[in-house]
Amino acid sequence: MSDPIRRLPRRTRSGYNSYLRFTGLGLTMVGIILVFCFIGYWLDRILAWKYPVFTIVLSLLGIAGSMAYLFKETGKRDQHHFRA
Amino acid sequence: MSIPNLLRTASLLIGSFLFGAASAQHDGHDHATHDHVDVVDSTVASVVAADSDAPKLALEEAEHGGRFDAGKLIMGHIGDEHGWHLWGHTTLPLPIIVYNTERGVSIFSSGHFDHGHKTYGGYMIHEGSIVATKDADGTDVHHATIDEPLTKATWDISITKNVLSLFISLAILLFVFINVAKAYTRRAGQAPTGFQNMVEPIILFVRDDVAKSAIGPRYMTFMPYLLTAFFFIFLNNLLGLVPFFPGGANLTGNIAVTLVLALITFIIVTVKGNKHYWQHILAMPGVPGWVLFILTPVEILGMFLKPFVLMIRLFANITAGHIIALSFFSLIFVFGETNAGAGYGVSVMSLAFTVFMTMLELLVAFIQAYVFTFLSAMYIGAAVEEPHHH
Repeated sequence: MSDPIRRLPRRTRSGYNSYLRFTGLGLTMVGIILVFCFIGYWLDRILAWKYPVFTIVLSLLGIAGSMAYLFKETGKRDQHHFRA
Repeated sequence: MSIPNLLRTASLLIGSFLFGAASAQHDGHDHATHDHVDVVDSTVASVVAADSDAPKLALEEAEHGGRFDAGKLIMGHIGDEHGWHLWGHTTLPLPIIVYNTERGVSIFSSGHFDHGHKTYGGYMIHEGSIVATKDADGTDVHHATIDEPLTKATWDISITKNVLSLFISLAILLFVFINVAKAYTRRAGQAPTGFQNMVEPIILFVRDDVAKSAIGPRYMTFMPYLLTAFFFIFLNNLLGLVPFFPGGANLTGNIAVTLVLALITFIIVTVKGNKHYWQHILAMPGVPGWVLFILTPVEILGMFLKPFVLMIRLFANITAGHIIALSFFSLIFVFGETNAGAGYGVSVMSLAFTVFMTMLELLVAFIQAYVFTFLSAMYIGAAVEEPHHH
C-alpha cells in the first residue's frame, strides 16, 4: 500500500518537494504587479492629475517588487538547502 | 489519531461547512443584487451565476427543436443547485431556507419550485439564485416579476447540492475516522485492520512527507489541520468524479469552499507566526533600507496572495477537470445536432477521451489534495520556524 512517491529514494523526494515550493511563485508575482497597478490606477482616478504618474510609477515598482520577491523566495530555499 | 485530535478534526470540518455555506450563499446573494466589488466576489459570482436548472434547460431546448447550448450545460453542472438532479426528469428536492429581513424565515422544499419553473412562498429561482416576488404561488417564472428591494433583503441559506454534498462527505469522514480511532485504541500495538489499512499509509505520508519535511520539529501541533484538509479535499475531489448521486457535486471546485480552506491556513499562519516570521515580513534582516521600501509592501502583499493562490489553484484545477469531461460529452450533442451518425461516431471518441481524462483526474484529485496540504504546511513552517544561527 505504499504510494509511488514514498518508494523514491529520500533525495529525489526532497527534490520533488523543492519544486513544489515554487508552484505559487509565478501567480504571486503576477498578483503583486496587478495589485500595484491597481493601486496606481485608483490613485490616479482619485487625484485626477494631468498625467497618470501613479499608474506608471507603481506598475514599474510592482515589477521591481515582484523581482525582489523572486530573489528573496529563491534565496530562502538555498538557505534551507545548506542547512539540511 | 487520538480522541482530542479527532474532536478537533470534526469541529474544523463543521466549522468549514458553516463558513462555506454562509459564504457561498452570501456571494450568490451579492451576485443577485449586483453590488459585489472585490475580486473574490466577482469570481464567485461568475461561478454561481450558472443557471440552476441549466443542464436540464440546455437539453430540453435541444429536445424542443432549439439549439443545444454546451456552455449552459457545463456551467450548470459545475455550479451549485437548489435540488440534486438524479436521472431523467427526477430531481432530489432539497430544503430551501430563506431569511428575509421583512418576511422572516421561510423553510420549504425546492420541489415546490417545479424545477425552477414556478414561484412559491413569494420566492422563485432566477439564474440560479433565489429572488423575491409578489406574485401568487404557482405563477410561471416567465410571467413573474422580481421584487428588487425585497430581493436585496433576502438571505439564501438553503441546503443546496454543494451543502448536502458537504454533509455526505462529513458523514463519510466521521464514519471512517471514528472507526479507525476506535480500532487504534482497541488494537493498540497490533497489525492494522479494515479502514486502518486504507488510511494509515496516507496519514503516515502526510506526517512524514508533508508535515515533518515542511514544518520541522513542531509539526505535531498542525497535524490535525493538515490531515483534515488533506482527507477533506481528497474525498471531495473523488466524490466530484463520481457522475451520479451522491457524487458529482464539484464541491472542491466551488471557490467559496476553497476560500474557507485557504482562509483557515491564513488564520493559522497569522496567529501562529512568531517574531522571526514577522521580522522577515516587516523588515527583512540584512537588506538595505531602500530595498526594504519596496520589499516590505511586497511581503505584506505576499502574506495575502499566498493563500489567495492556494484558493485559486484548487478551485481552477478541479473545475477545469469537470469542464473537460463535460466538454467531451457536449461534443456528442453538438455533432449529433448536425447529423445523427456524426453524433454516434463522436460518442465513441468522446467516451474514450472521457475515460482517459477521468483516470488523469484520479491522479489530479490526489495531487491537488497533496499540493494544498503541502503548501499549507510550508506556509505554516515558515511562520513557526525558529531562527537558526551559523
